Amino acid sequence: MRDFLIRRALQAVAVMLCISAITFFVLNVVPGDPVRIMLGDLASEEALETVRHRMGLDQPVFVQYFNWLTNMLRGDFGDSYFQRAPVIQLLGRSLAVTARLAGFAYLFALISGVTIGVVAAVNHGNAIDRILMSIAVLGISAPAFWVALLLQIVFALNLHWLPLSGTKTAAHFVLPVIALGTRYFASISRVTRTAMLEVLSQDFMRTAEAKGLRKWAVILRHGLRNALIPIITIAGTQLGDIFTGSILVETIFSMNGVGSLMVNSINQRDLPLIEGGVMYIALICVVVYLIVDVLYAVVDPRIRLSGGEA
Amino acid sequence: MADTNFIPATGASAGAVNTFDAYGAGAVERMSKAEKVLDVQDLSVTLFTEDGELPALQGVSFAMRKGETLAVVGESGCGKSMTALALMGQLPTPPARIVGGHINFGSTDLAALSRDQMREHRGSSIGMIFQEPMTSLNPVMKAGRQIREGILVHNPQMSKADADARALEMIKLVGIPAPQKVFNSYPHELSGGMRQRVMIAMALACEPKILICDEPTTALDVTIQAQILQLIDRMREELGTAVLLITHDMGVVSEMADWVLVMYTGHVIEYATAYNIFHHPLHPYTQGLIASIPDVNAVTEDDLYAIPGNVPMLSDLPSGCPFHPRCPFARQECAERKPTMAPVPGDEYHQVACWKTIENWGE
Repeated sequence: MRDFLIRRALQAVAVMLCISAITFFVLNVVPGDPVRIMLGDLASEEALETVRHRMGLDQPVFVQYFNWLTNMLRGDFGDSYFQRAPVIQLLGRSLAVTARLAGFAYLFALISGVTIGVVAAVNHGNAIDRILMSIAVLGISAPAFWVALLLQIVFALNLHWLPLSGTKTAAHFVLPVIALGTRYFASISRVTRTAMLEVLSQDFMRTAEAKGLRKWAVILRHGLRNALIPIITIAGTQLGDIFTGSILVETIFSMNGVGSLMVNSINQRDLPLIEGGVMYIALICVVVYLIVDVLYAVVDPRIRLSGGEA
Repeated sequence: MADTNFIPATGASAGAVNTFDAYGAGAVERMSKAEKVLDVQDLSVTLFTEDGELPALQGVSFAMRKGETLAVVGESGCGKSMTALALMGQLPTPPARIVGGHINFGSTDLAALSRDQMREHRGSSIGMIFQEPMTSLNPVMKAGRQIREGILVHNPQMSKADADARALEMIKLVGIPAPQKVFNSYPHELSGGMRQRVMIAMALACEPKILICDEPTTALDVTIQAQILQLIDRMREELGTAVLLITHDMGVVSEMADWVLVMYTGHVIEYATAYNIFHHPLHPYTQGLIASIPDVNAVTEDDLYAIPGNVPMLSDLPSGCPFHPRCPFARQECAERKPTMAPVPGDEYHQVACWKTIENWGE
């Protein structure tokens, strides 16, 4: 288990290095000169050169990359070209919003998704199952922005139960959390249902019932525990998605999260900010996959065994 | 069966039948006096499917007695496992449902209990061992915890430590070497034989009066089969458990059973002491089953006997006696009237559902 952890952690570091290199070099060849965007079309060639030199953009690209990388390891992501503030500060401020939004959306998706999936599987084939799964299909098919607009119209504009947009209070987060979480909740519930249906027909479920356990003890302790592997797989990849894919919802609800920060920085060719943002997204994905792999081993002793030997 | 320690590794063997010579006729009387722990009367189960109602069990009656083994035999699909699941209150619902009859356990009719009400009896009154030890244990729970769980659910006041001790005691009782290690093992770390021992420990942990074994050795190596059968027999003797042994291996029946229930298409067609089933089988189907036991001395392939034809589908049962299309003695009336179980003249412990015997056609 320890070797497994070390190996996976080293892999994660290698992946991060690759991503940093790709991001940096790709951004250096895409058209659009950030210095010209900064100074405007009327700036003289001299002024451009001066600014380039001050920002270190006249150095060879490999030197730039190396500097950027070593600074980053010290926690210095550079300064934004346009907002005159350290990238790390801007990212941190946006991250506070996104983390709250995505975190709660994910909790909502996970709890309601697993609950509904289990209930649907237990009621396999009857009306409850069909109703729940219709909701799930609807949830998967409905785009987040459409759900967001619908929620705004119904709960903010018509019923006045919740605020329309912004990030001031906890109430401001309710509608965005639902809008963002719906799709994930729907797919988690479908995967949970499928996994549970397979487990419910297993021999050991009959054994568990034969011991005299209560129905729900059989379903949860023996059933859900064994259905967890596919659920963790889908829920794990979604954790990455949800933290990095909240841009539409953030825009609709006027929330200054990482998503809006990224879009703005791309429009402005704000290279340090783009690079910092990409590294943030990459880091989240890498960490999530690491956690998922470790969770597999925790949940299923058979994986632990093969992982330890490999 | 009590004085038999030798169990042939292959289960079926030509000499097995001779085991019963030790009993003679007095055995019936001795066995019939044992306390009845379960009395099944006229049990009927129907499968309610989209294609209509299929009679899975029709009028099944038998008794189980303390410390005795009742073997249920018959080809696949004859209702053996369905009977076991009905006793456990674990019929797959839908589609299966008990539509008639009684399962009298003491003063309780188990057939009248709901699945939830049956919960108290499962594991504590009736324990069950399943066919596939490889898949019958929860793969993500340690063996000891799986045993402990059953103990705790029926003894809620017991501490976890006490339940652990009891589970460990059971693991020792079923003859597992290194009990502490097995207690802390996951099922995938154990061999098939070990898993079946864990299953047995689990089923007997609350000392149920009845142990149902649904083909407990079918999935095991032949050498392990004998050990598991011996273990079940030892447990029966030590704990006084009544054993319901489901099998299609007549060799196992001859070694283990005090009583035999022969089933065909959801009907009981012959019910007698094991001695009588092997020495005086009356139903042509029972005779066919016994003739089908492979003989070690057989020289050519032709010496392997098989009952002609196939078990009919539940959706397409023949009229009259369900066995008549395959029966060498069938007459016109067999196709017209269905025989019911009736005692053989002069032996109330031998029942058969066959016109040939009931109406005494002779040979």
